[in-house]
Amino acid sequence: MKIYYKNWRLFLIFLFLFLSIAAILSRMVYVQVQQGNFLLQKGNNQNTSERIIEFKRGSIFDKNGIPLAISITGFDLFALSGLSEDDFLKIKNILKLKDLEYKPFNKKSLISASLSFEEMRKIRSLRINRLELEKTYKRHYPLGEQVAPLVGFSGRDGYGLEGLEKSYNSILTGKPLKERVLKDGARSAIQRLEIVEFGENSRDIYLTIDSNIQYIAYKYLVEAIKNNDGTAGTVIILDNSAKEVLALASYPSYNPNNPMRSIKKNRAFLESYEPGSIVKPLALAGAIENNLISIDTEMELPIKIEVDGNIINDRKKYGQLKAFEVIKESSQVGATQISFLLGAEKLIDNYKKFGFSKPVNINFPSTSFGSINSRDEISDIEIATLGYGYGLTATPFQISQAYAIFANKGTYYDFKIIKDNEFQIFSEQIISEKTANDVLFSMRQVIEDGTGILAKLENFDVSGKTGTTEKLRDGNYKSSSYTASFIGIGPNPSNELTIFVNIDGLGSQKYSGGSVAAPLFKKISNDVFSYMGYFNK
Amino acid sequence: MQNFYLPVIFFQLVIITYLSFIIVDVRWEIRSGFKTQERLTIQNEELENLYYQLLTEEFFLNSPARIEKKAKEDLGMIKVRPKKIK
Repeated sequence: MKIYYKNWRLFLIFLFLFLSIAAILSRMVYVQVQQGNFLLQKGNNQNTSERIIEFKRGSIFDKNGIPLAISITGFDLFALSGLSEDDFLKIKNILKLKDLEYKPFNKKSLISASLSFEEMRKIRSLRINRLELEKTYKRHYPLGEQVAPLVGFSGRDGYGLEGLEKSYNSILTGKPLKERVLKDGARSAIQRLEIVEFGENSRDIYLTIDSNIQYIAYKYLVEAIKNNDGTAGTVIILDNSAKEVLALASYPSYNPNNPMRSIKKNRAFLESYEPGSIVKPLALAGAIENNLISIDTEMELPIKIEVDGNIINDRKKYGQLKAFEVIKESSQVGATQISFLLGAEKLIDNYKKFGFSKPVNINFPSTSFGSINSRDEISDIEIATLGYGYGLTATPFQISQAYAIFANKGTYYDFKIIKDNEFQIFSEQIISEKTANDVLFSMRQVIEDGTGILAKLENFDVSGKTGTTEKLRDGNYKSSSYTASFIGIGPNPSNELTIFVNIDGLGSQKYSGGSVAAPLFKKISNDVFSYMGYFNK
Repeated sequence: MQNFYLPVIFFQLVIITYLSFIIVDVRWEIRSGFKTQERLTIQNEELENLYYQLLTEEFFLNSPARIEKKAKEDLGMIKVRPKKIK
């Protein structure tokens, strides 16, 4: 009986152990098979997380590597809910936040923005759990308003909003990388598990702009606008041999570093205006190219002519002038005669060949490309006015590119603003080399003894042309508001630079291209030629 | 036969134990390498900040605007037109 009793108790123990092991095993099977994936996911969620790595926005440099737009890394400090007052006071002491008082944090709240690396390290060394540091990038524009209308600016989110910052946004931003990481108890990443989405690194861009030349252009432009009571203006300097834009100044400008900036347009690309007499050499080039005239052709010019009941007159009676002298004196009557020689179709076609009314090959947000009056039944007065720059509009950049044709022996080139070896420069022979030289000769007379005499340089030979335009307002030409322009090519004989200047919103006191724009051209070209190391004469 | 298997099993156990240590060691190295990479990334950005600051400062010190201001205001210099080169 005793043995039986003993065996019975032993049996119960074995049975209990067996059932326990069976229960554990079945639970294990249940957990592994039924809930395995769910629990695995739960565990992974606690230890792993996906994070997005944004690349620092690329910088913009000038051709010499001088920064025009750079991103500076900083850190924003956030308090998470439950941050204690003691911890807050420690942070307050480190960051010297005098005005900030403690209040219980119920949600993620910004404590301080744009912390330096040193401050970030001090905060991290406190090892406070209820804090979060977020990396941020602040954009800086060292040249400020000098290049603001060209470079533009980007928002706090790192997205380009204006200028080249906008048009090259995808290159400057890159594509963020997404990765899954393993985290430790303090929730900081300790190992990369996998790359969920491959990114693309941001890239810097180099402009063809030279900061020193840009400074010269902007300085004299602002000075001239203020001295002549103008309201706005543009300076463009092109390197004819490299087919690059060296400077592009536009006034009024703004400070891109100021978050309260008020945006001003880039007038070089956006302000299409009636260019006035500055187009006369283009019409002359068309007439020479069509064998209708040569620069020595004698032209009989009355002081005024009547076209469709409108009087076109010159400031004095020239009598007989050679074709090149029409450009030198900027004769309206002479330009009208050249227009009639060409006829509407050839005249309009000629302007189009020079790039007018066509988009420019520059990646810039919303460029303008002007227009030409090309109605089927165009009247005689409209043909006449086209010859001296009314009835068509063009941007300063289009005019500059058109004039660069004369410096480039009759070949049209698309100028570039980004240093990019893959950029294919479009080129097309528009006029013969002889025609280009003839026009340059005519333009040299403008400087020597013509309307552009105030642009004459003591040490350099240049060719140029003046332009004065009455501004069209509400369908009428106002004789109280003018635009003065001047474009020059030099220094002779290399003719490596094309310099365009214009000043807008001039009053009725001093407004002509010869008296306002030509002296501005002289100042700019003198400094730029010297800076670039040209020695002539 | 038993005498043959025992050393093999023992040797395998030793290898497995050794490999387990290696795995732990490699994992530790990966993690410390990752942390170093994170640290160096931050250090790189800090140095980049410094580089940009120095570059901007260099540009400011060399800028024609500053030189012109110094020449005119501090040194009282005036602009002289270059003479003709004969």
